[in-house]
Amino acid sequence: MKRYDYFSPKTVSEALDILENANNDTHIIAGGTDIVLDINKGRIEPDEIVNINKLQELKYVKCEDGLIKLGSTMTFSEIESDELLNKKAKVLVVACREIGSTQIRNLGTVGGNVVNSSSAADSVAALIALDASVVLKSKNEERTMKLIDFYDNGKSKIRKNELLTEIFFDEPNQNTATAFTKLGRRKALAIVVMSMGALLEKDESNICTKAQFVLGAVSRHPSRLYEIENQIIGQEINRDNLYELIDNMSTTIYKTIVEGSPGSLRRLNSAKYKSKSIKGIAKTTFESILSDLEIK
Amino acid sequence: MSKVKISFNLNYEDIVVEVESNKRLLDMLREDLNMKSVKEGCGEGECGACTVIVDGITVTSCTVLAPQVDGCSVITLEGLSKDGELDKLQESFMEAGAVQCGFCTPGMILSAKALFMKNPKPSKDEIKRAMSGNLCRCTGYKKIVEAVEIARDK
Amino acid sequence: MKKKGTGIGCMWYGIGNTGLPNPAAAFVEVHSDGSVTALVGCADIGQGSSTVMAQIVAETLGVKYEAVNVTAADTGVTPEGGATSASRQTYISGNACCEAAKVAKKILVEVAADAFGVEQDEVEIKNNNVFVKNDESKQMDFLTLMGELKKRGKIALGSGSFNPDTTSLDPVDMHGNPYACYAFATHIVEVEVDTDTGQVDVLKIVAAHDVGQAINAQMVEAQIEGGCAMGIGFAVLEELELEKGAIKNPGFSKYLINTAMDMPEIYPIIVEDPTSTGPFGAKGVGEPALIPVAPAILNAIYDAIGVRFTEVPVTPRKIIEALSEKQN
Repeated sequence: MKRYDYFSPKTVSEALDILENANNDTHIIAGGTDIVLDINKGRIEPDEIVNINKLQELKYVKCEDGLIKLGSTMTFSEIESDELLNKKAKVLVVACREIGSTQIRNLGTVGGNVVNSSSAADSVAALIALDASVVLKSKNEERTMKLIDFYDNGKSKIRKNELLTEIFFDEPNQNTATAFTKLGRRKALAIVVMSMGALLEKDESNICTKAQFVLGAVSRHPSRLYEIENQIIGQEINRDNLYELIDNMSTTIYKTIVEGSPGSLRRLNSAKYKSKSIKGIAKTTFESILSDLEIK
Repeated sequence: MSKVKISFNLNYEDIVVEVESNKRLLDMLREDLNMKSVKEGCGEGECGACTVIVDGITVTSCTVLAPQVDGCSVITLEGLSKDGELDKLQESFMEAGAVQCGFCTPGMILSAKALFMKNPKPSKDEIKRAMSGNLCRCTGYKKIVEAVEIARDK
Repeated sequence: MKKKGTGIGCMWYGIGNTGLPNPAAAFVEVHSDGSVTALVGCADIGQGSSTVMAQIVAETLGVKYEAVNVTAADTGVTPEGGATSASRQTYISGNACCEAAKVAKKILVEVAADAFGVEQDEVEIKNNNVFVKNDESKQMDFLTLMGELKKRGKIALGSGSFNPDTTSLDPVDMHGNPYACYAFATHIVEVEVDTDTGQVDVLKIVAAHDVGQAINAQMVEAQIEGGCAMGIGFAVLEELELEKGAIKNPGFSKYLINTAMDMPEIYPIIVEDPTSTGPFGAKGVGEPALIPVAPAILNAIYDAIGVRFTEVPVTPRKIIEALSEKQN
């Protein structure tokens, strides 16, 4: 294995100075659960490693200007136990709670999950359901973009001299409920087979004013179901109306997977299974939302 | 700068070490510092055999770079028996018959230890959850969970 | 929708290598300080054979378990033990230990009888105490007995070996006697099948195993519990992906085994129907622990959703496929 130079900056400003001279083989490490494996398996051969795990500036959860903001090195364990997020962003808490194992959750960061761009990234699915945005800082520039626009067919749009510093989303009001359901092959250390994240906002007469639905592990990156969202917006939020969406979700899943890899038998089988099992996932998700919105 | 000088606390003792920048925490502990209880089961963070406690929480040492523990406290199983006296978890694992081949045991005990550090009276479900990142092929987990319950109630 | 089902699986399994000689041997020596050394070839891979050998030697000699030190699987000093496989070590190495301890005990009894002035069959040694049946006045502790051996220049030493009484199988019609004893078991399993996602949750396993005699009940339970975990994996989780002979999923991330959170309640039941040829009637449990689990689970799945599977693992995908076909 190639020896690399190791940096462990103490401030974000120091980190950005280092990254300004980054080349293609400069890599950032936070929790390390993805990148250490990449290094050991020879998938990457770094020249430089920049450890951002010591940057206390990136560890926070706060509510500011109608936004909930997370520092990018918040670990899944820290998100799981955060009081504010438990109250306001159940979808993200549940998603993080079911990642990997205790050890992986103690190490893994939400920023790492976002940048790593895996199709199995549970926190990404949840964040897209929250319509989250990411903040990318470099020495001389700061960019903000929607998380749903952050990916381009398997790669993230982060530049080599940038650090993902913050993730934020609109603070859900008290007439909003969010939920996340993950289908895995076992109860822990489970890579997602398929997941669903949802956000529903209603007015005083239970009419849906906002709907954000996301599927994880169906397409290359978690995808929003805009058509299905439009079906429920303006309708009353009740069990019948929500369950009616499931057939469409099923068809959408089937189309997405089959069209994504036409002619692949393996993908056809996947499409058959996922388009059916969404029924169970969606029901669980909708029941959670109905319960939180106190709709019988 | 491909060797890094780090200072950290290992099993309640402050030490200073020079380590290659590309060494995993697992390898530094096991090979350089002779902590043989730390074992490699899979090298992918998927089995928990290499679990150690860093700053009070469990991590899979095969996914951590050694230099990352600079300034941290690290506990391996060797740190649990002070002056030859066994930790109550070690005793309860023996009492409950929770050790067969022993490969998962250090990781299991440390996962339980870290749980107790945060929550001294966990429920059975909380115990199972805390141990769910440690795979075992021998025991079916039943006596391991019982051992943790015994230690909890001591 | 979640559907529950119950299933039964029964099994019988031969202990030892099939129709082939597979002996094991042991040496036992009683030392002047009252401790005992047992040398066995039998390798303890975590199942606890060294503990069992110590128990068998202690019980046979009449000393406390803590007095016995086992040296196992050291090719420098231990005799042949055969493989730790075929669920054979308690039965075969256990018998060898029994035989070796009996030889050593004979010497102890000879000396005790001589010291007491009684016939040998009146001497008993139990729990480190040496006494005469029906005569409370004649007693001595074990250390005193060792002193008596020293006076007479005797050493309590024994060796033993055991090979199960089997025959090879006829190459034409396979008749013969491949095993000297068999273990039996019945498992009853409760599962819950989610007909929307195809997930199978194993809720409860009651596992009854006839082990002849449980030399160490806790360790027999441990074997049964471990077998249940492996059996569940075999039935619903573990999938070996082979492509032209190469395993495509050799790592824990892709070859999935149960975690602590996936385990159901397990109720092991030890049944003891002693076998006349085993040490204190013991047979074996290593492989039996696994065998009835998957059949019971598959039967439970049939009970739950009316679909009979004949291949494992029964993955959620297969369940959904089968349920769709059933509907059409």
